[in-house]
Amino acid sequence: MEIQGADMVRAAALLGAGIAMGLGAIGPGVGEGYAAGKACEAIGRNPKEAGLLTRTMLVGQAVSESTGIYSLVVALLLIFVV
Amino acid sequence: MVISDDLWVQAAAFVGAGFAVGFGAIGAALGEGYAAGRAGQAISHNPSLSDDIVKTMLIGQAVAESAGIFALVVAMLLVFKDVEGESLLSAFAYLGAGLSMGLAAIGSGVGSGMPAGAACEGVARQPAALSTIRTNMLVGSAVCQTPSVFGMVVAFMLLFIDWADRPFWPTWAALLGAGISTGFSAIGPGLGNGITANEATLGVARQPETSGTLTNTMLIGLTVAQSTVIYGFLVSLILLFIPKPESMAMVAWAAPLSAGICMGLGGIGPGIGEGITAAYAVRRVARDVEQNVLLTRVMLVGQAVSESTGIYSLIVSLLLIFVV
Amino acid sequence: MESVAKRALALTLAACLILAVMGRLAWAKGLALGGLVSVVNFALMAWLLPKAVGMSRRRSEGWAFGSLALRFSLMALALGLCLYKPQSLSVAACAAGLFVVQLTLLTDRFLPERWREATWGVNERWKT
Repeated sequence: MEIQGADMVRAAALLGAGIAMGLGAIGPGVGEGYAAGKACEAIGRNPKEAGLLTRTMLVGQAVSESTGIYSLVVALLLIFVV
Repeated sequence: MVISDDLWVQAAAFVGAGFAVGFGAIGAALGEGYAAGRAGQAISHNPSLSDDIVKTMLIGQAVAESAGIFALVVAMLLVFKDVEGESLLSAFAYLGAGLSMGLAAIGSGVGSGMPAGAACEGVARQPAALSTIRTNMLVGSAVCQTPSVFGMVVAFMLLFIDWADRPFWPTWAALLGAGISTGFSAIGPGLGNGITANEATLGVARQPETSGTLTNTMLIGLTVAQSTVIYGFLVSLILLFIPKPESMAMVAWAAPLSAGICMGLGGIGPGIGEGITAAYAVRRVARDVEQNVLLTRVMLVGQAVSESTGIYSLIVSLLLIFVV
Repeated sequence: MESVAKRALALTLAACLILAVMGRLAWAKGLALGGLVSVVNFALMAWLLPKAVGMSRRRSEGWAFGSLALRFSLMALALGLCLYKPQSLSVAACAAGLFVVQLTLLTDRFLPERWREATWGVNERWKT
């Protein structure tokens, strides 16, 4: 079988996309879960502030989410652009 | 020297069996050791209860061991598999079966050790609630075993379906990817469920009269946290049952393998994270049961957001399978 | 603990008898073997694992691994026997039999109170 350069690059890009998204999903997943857990704890202590705390939780999670989104972008670039 | 296909398949079956029973035993041993350690602490706090604590630990361990026994069954089937005349594709199916079962058993084994340990601690604190604590522990550990059931189902499909009519290129990558996808993605939910069940069991020990509400909240949290292993299972099914045309190109095998790795690894984080969320929610419900409805709602919102990276992984996997 | 083992054995025996009456002798024998090994495994665990209590974390994990290796090889032996003679011993039934103790523990909750008290160890001392 003859290995062709372009084919190899494309294959490597696809493998890279999978690994990037897979590993990139671990950190935000745990981090956002932790943020949400702490928010639950705080709301349990102080239920009157539930609205404010939920908003704060969502903002915090959105920021932690960013590395996940970077991974997604990199994966999509590797799939469609390379 | 030419090595025949049969020999390769036989070797792959042995390696797969090693993966299954090795990882399965590691998971079960870590869980059991952890529970035994906490039982020791509990006994040192309250030595007069050592009999009840040891019994509680044993009941928890017996259930926690199920994932290991699943792995053992799969490993024995692999060892005794008759490989004569099997195509080379079976080698990858057996490797995938071993990975899927073994990795899935790690999370479940470690995870279900946690409620067992918590129950020992709880019995030492609140011996009057012995029966309620044990019930919650059993429910929690039994649910922790579910991710390993998904791993076992995939392993059985890889073992018993005849793949010989598929083209070797690129089906081998799909078979391996299917095993990796469910195997890795089961680790997260297994551990996460253990973290939640741990807090729920401690909570029941703190306030036995709220055990009904607590067990319900715990079950909601556990069910949502299991969604990533279901994604992993879905990707495995797609990889196994949607055949791809024969192709020698590297892209053709890189895409399914990558899809499996992507969904597998991507399932770990959200599984653990959602478990942590549910653990904190359950802990607060145990302190103030009136807050149950509000906390369940916040927990579900938080879990849904943590889920997003798992969904990204699913999307990327599906793109890799269908678009490339 | 003894009554859990007894109930698991009774459950196995009943299931075996039903299977034998139905004429599935290989299933009955496989199930009997699996159930027996499951109970022996539980008894071994009840004997070995309490010794790990009070050890340090690392040592208790090592001990658990050792006991697990012993008990798993026992179960592997039973499964291996079935796979070696699949005509007279059903592998699937043996695998199902290995979970008899777990089944007993998980279904215990649904039994009448009067039976449960003995096995579940609802401690009379602490009843209010």
